[in-house]
Amino acid sequence: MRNVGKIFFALVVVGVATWRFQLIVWAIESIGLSVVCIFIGSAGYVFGSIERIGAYWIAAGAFVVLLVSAAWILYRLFNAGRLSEENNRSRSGGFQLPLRMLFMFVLIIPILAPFNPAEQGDLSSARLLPPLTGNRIQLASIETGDLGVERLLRSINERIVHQHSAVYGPDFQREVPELNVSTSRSFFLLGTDDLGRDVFSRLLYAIRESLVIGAAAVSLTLFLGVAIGLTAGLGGRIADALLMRLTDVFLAVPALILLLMLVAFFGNSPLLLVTTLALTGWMNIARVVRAETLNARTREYIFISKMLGKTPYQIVRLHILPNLYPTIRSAALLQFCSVLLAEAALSFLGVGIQPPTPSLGNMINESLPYLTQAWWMSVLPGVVLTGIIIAANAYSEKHFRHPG
Amino acid sequence: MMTFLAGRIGTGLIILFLLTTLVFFIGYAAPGDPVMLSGGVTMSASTIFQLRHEMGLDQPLLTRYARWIGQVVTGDFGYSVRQQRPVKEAILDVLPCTFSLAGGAIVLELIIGLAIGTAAARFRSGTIDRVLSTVSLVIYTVPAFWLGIMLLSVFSYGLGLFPSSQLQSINGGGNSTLESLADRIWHLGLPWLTLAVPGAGAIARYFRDSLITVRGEEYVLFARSRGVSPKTIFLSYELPNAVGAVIAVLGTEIGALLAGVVVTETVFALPGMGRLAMTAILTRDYPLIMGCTIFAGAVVIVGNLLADVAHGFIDPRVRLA
Repeated sequence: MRNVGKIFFALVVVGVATWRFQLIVWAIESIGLSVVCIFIGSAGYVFGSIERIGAYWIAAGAFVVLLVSAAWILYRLFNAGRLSEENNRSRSGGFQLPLRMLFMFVLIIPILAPFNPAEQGDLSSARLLPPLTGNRIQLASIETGDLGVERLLRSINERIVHQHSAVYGPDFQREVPELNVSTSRSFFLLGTDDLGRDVFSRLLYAIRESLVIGAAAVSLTLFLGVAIGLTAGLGGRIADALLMRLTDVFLAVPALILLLMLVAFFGNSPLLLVTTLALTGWMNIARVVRAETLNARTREYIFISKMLGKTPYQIVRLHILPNLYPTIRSAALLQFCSVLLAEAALSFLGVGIQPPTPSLGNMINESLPYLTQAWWMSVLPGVVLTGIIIAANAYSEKHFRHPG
Repeated sequence: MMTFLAGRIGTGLIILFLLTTLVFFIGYAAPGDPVMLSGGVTMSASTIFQLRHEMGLDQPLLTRYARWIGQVVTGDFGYSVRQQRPVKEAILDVLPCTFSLAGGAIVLELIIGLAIGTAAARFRSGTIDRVLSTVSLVIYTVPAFWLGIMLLSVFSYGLGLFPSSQLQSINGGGNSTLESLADRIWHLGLPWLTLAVPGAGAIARYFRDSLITVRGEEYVLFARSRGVSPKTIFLSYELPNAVGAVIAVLGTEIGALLAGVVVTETVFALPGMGRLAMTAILTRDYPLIMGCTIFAGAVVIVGNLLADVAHGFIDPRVRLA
């Protein structure tokens, strides 16, 4: 059964590769040519626009990695008999693989999304289209929906070619593909919203936003929680009492209300949002880490390493932290779920991620005036959000509740 | 029991005190001058100076802190310029709405949660159990605000069974008390459901597990072997022993409930605490935000206290711990 998933994954990757072939080629070409740019001294031109096309470069790079891994998976499947031993061994890295896949997914979203999530369609014809409808509209561009990015990708290429032909002579001249902007029949898989934006693309970018914010917040939460938990567990009675009361205080206020207060006082740029989410979420991890530390600290091997003259830092790093890993992992996954929910709730209330950037919460918020006209605007983001959280929950239950 | 009670109340008071301290320092560290924010930029320098003096902003930090603590102890959270009235009054005004919302939700939560949990434990490891466990996981994870919107669009906009917003009809539902009560319940139906369902998922999961644990205990086995009827076993042996876990969960659920109140009141346009807090945040009404936060913290602390006491009342072992 588990091969089905692998084959599906490989097929999806190959499918995307054929669907998005042109875009990937352009992006890779422009990476290469930009590197050349640095050497021939016109790097300023490239780096002036790097923030717009950087995501496409990274996406193309990540996609090449995905393509190679898909090929490797297929290769291994067809040689399953010979390599079965290795196959079995590689299954043990359970937690690593899904996370890696998730972040690959985040990286390649610019390639997956058929439209630019911020680009508005023609309001007279592309507004509130139901899912699975096509529409003949003046489309900004066929590949990304983002004409700017595509022009940049191409004009960089053109420019370099121009430079090269100046340096190396006209032999280097080559064909630059025509920019093909035309009215074409576009297809909206999940419909469009009130501003004629493609819901599918917006959902993809919203997932990216949520996952990135969630991952950043959980990393910071882990750092805070582990630091505070370890200090409480190892720092003596006074530090323990103080820190645990602090934990109680933070636990006393509902996280959402504390979040709202912090956001109201300090603002809601993405960086502040991550910090705020971490500041309101470290308590459970700190508690768990403290309990485990107190437990581990009375063990004989700690006592013996103390006798052997190990420094406290060495003891923590070699003997206490490794024991904490399973607990921290499951706590982190649960925290990830609650961070996703909190971020969505904040964005829904209008104080989280701000509108031009799509996020699952503010997509639901924007759907409110159209509940009766456009069910897809409100239903789909919620389904995606719930789906992600259920998947993470189920995963943590499957892998962490019955260890071993 | 008395020492247990006194200890719990003491801890609660300490936490409440620390919470007010925390809120004060967050407010102190926040950028922006409360005077400028409250009055706008058209004030003259002398007015600003006078207002700063009146609000005590020209005092040193420790003096301001002592003053703040003194105010909070006497129940005075300052004056909300945006609302044109004291913060305390603004909060007390919306309490009936929030408490009827939260109270009804807790009752509904218990009913749904205990029913699902009991059924799942009764048909343990069967198909029904698996279905119910999945259902409780799903309803536990579903975001409250989205659930509210879905209920709204199905039952209110789609089927027209429930009103979409407000606490009561314009005419108050009718003349008699009974009619207006029915009107209230009709209006609160969807918000109650929105608020209750996620918590019910959590309760169902805990109750199922603890019921299954209790079912394996020897006293239940003994009662069964003596031929006590299943109904009696359930009501007088299993339920009291299993319900302790639910009460402990309920204590921690109160925080989630209050967070849910914020989004539920926003979705259903109910005039309660959550709406007040949201208005305060969107209008940058600092005293009101601080008041709401402390009030929410106090409610959670009292809720936890009640849950602890109830748990200790039911299960003597908790008292000794």
